[in-house]
Amino acid sequence: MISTSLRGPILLVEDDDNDVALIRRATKKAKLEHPMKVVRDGEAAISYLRGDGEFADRNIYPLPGLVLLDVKLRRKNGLEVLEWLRSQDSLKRILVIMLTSSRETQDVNRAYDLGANSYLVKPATFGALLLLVQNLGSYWLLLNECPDPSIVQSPDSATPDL
Amino acid sequence: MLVEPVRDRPRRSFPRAVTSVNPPKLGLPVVDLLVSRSGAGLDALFHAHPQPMWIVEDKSLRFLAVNDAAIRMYGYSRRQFLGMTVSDLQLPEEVSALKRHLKRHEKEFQTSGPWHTVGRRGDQLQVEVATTRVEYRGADAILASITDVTARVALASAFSKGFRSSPSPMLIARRSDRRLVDANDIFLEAFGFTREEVIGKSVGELDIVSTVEMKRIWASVSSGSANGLPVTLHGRLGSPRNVILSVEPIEHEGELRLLLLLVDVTEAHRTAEALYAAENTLRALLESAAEGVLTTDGKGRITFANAKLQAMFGYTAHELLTQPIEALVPDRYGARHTRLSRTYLQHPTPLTLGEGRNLFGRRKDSVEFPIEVSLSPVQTASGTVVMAIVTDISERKHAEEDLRRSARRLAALREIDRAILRGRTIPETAAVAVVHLCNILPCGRASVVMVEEAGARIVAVHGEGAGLTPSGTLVPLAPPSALSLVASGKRAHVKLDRRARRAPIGEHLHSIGLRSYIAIPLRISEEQTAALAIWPGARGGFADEELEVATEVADLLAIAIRQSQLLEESRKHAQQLQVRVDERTAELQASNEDLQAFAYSVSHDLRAPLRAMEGFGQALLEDYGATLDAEAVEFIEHIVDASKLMDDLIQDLLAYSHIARGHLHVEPVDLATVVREALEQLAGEIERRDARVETPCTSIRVLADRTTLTQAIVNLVSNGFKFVSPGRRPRVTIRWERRGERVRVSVSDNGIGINADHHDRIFKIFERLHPVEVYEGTGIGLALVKKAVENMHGRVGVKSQVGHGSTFWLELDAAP
Repeated sequence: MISTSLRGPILLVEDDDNDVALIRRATKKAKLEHPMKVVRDGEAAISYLRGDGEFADRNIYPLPGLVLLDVKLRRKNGLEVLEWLRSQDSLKRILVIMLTSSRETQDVNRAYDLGANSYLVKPATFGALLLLVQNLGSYWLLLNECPDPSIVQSPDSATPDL
Repeated sequence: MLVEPVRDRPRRSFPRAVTSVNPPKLGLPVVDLLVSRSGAGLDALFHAHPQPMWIVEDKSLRFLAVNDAAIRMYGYSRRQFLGMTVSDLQLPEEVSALKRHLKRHEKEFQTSGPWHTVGRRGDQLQVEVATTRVEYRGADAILASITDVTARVALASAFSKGFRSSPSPMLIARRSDRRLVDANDIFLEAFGFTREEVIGKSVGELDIVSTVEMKRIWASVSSGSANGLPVTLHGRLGSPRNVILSVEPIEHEGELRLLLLLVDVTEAHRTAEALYAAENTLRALLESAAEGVLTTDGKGRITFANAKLQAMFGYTAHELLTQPIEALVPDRYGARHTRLSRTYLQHPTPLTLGEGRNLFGRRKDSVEFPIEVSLSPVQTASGTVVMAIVTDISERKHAEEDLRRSARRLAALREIDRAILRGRTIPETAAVAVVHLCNILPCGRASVVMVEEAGARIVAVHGEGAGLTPSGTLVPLAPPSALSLVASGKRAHVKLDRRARRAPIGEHLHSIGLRSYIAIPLRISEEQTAALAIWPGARGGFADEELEVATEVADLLAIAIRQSQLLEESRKHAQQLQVRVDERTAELQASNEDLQAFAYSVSHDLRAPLRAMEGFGQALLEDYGATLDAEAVEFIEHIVDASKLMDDLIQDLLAYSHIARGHLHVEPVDLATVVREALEQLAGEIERRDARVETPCTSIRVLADRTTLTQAIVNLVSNGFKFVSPGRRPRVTIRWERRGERVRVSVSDNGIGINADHHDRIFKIFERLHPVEVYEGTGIGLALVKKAVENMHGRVGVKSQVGHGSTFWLELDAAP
């Protein structure tokens, strides 16, 4: 297996247990053996990313390299989580892939406006979900060159030399 | 009926209905009927006028209106009149001349005539007609005022009779060309002519006098008349006659002519007698004239006055003779008249005075009256004599003045009407009415009062003097109030007596010198009691005709007030309606937002459990399929299929609701491109079904929302694939053609076809003709197509026969 450039686990933010189970099954069947952490709502996602409270221990809850983010979530929705994440200097480079059942144009556009890296719609059948997970793994984990979120640039050094 | 003479200001006719106002008509004045509204007013003035009058249409000369006097004069009923034209009254030989005259109106009330007209009883009337142009009920018309001159003409014929039977030979010649118009019997007898031989000839042509002598005669009459010219005449019979010729101007058949009087002095002994007889004849003729006739000597002293003139001026002949002509002239003309008449007597010429301007005579009792005067100088041995024919034109003037006055009233009424239409509020409208009423009637003041619960509201008031109660004031009603009288709908004459003065307003009005007023009800509506009050001015009291005018104004005002009220009500209704529309719009917006939220929720929440059912069913089959028996496997497959179908249903429903909400961006799009995109979307299905699609590549642009139209085409093509007999290869043809302003897209298939009974049903949502096991589908596809196309201002339809395939079509506006 070719090694991935993705640093840190995948964080799945999904409030539907069935979907969590099906996604886990699909990753297993697709042999996508990358570590995956799961949180169930928008606030939990933010807590995890911050390393707050129960997620304080980065050994147990390492900073993810990719977030699979549902749009419709309890407490805070996926778009709010995305907006917050992109405003955090230490987190803004984390890959975010929306994985949702909404095809609403306004959701899609809003997600890209807020800086989502990809927008995927949950397929109706498991077969299609399996295909999606396989493709996701091969593209985002293998083909894609991932950023390193841990290196934080100061605003000054971010200014390119003229 | 209202009659308005020519004015140069543009006029507008009264509106017939309160809602429609005719645009102003330019140029001509307007004559209109108020009969339709109140039946009274100035109509009465026209009808009751002593002067016979009628109105005819300008082109056809058909009678449009006649007054009572005209009906009496001619004996036809009004109905008979209205079925006739002017020609029907006229002697046939005069019709074309009269028509010519009527169509040539240079000025107001131009007089012409006499004309011969025939009444119903066959009686011939001779009339003079004064005409003016008017507009009547929107049409160009002629108003004519008729004067019966039969008596005058009869007198003229008496003259003619005297002339014929006179013992002295006489001729009458036209002044203009001196051709003879008549000769008397003795002339014809003495000189051997028939009348036919004489009439139309000049004296010279009769060959009774030498050319040289004729010239001498005309030279001496050129100044007007000649007296005592010795002439030798050669008749056809006997020897030459020595005659004394006198030439006198006379009025004959309505024009000034020359009377040639011959006194045969051949037999000298008969001279004196003949002269005397001739003078007597002339005198008798003048005496019997219908007009006043007088003669003056060269110094302006009266030498003769006929009976008519004596009656006209109120003098006896004896009183007039030897008086200076100034005795008959108003003092104010004084020296000027004397100077003018002196000048005239030095160079007398035939002259008509007073026509078209104001000339007055003075009666013995100093009363002045309008006259017209024709002057003719007559040369005699004793010097220049002036003969004056005097016509009393009082009646004609009165008739004209009456017409002018009613015209002024009409103008004022019109002004009120116009102002009323301009006025927005009831007080504004009422104010206009009272101001104008004070201008046309001898009102001291006028006011409009409306009864309210608490009393009477003075809506508008106008007038002279102090103590006007300001408009807007609410005054308590005095018992018995005039308003309780007018509530009965009748005009009331209200005296400010002791009882009326118990109310403060009554006392106030009395204290400022008012004693009585006329209250005229305003018929606005059943519920509204209101009145127009007019207070007599300095003259005290009103004539019936003036009250009619006031009633007319009251009726107009009532209509206007009702109109204002209705306008106000409809304005309120419109406002209420707007509020309700706004509320409903807000409600609809809210429910539309609810619907969107619902659709959003459906797409997320309803589909999630289906994915789970399908996913876990699949997992069961994969992980445990080997250990389950065949029936258990089949059951699980049913669960998986059902959840798939439900997901399809939800997806289609979402698409349908999306289109139904109508977020469309309609723009010109190319059909070829849209169809290509649709077929790309269908590529998987085409391959799966091994279908064939034929389509032309010609570009044509329609007005549509690109995404929605693509979806509609996808649905139609996919639909065409679906319903084929088992084992048959689906074939779909897509065509389009321009139809006028529209473009029709047809999708034809080789499917099973649809019974005509079902053609309407298939476009309804959830309508299915076949069980899902036979032909898959959600029953939404065609409903979606219909909704989508209709939202783009198009329409859809189907042509199909069972067993012969189907052609679905949609029509959209072609792009410009």
